[in-house]
Amino acid sequence: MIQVTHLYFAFLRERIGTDQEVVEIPEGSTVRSALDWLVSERGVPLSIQKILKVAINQEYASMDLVLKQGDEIVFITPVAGG
Amino acid sequence: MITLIEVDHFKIDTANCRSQHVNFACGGLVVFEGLVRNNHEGRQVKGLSYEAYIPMTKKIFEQIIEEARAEFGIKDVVILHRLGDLDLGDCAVWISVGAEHRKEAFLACEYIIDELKRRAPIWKKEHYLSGDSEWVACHCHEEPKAKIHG
Repeated sequence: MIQVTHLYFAFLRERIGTDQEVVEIPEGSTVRSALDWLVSERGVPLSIQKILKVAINQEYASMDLVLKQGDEIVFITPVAGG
Repeated sequence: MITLIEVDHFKIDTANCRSQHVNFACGGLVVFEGLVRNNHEGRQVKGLSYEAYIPMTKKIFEQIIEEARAEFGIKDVVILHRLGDLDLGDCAVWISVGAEHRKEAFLACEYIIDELKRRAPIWKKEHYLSGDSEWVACHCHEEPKAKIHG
């Protein structure tokens, strides 16, 4: 198992009720599996999961990227800066 | 060349911003101010709250500035983005682009604000006169609408 840190902002922070948590996941887990975890373990609706982008260590990441020990994962709902 | 990026909980003093950034090599300075508007899609807005994933936002601002310099040959760039609670008329984002000539300054400024809105992990919550609030562009209800707007 490896440990990664999830950071939550905006809608997800309010929905999940915290701004971060450390999560233990199997080695070889991907960004896609982190998104599935949000649905199964934190009750994020599939309709929301579908519109999320993901950043790993401050870079937008593809769904098949394999996560590493200590990664910082941010789930990004549609952005609205400016 | 000046590059300045700030993303934080601070009030943007637009007059002061303008006076701080003078470069005699630039014959054109284009400034964009993004302000809090009192309406959105027919709803009356009384204020906004912004939050950001700050380190990634700064990184993306740097990338966008680098792209704009490569594409348009501009010189100075300042991007200030305010976070927290804003009232109507407050400045949420202040961008200035200095270049030798006006054309590249206009083009680069538009590029920067467009890319900022598209890529930076910044979120905006609108507070309505009716008393409710909503994360803009998210439509993060249980049944989100299909439309995404910038």
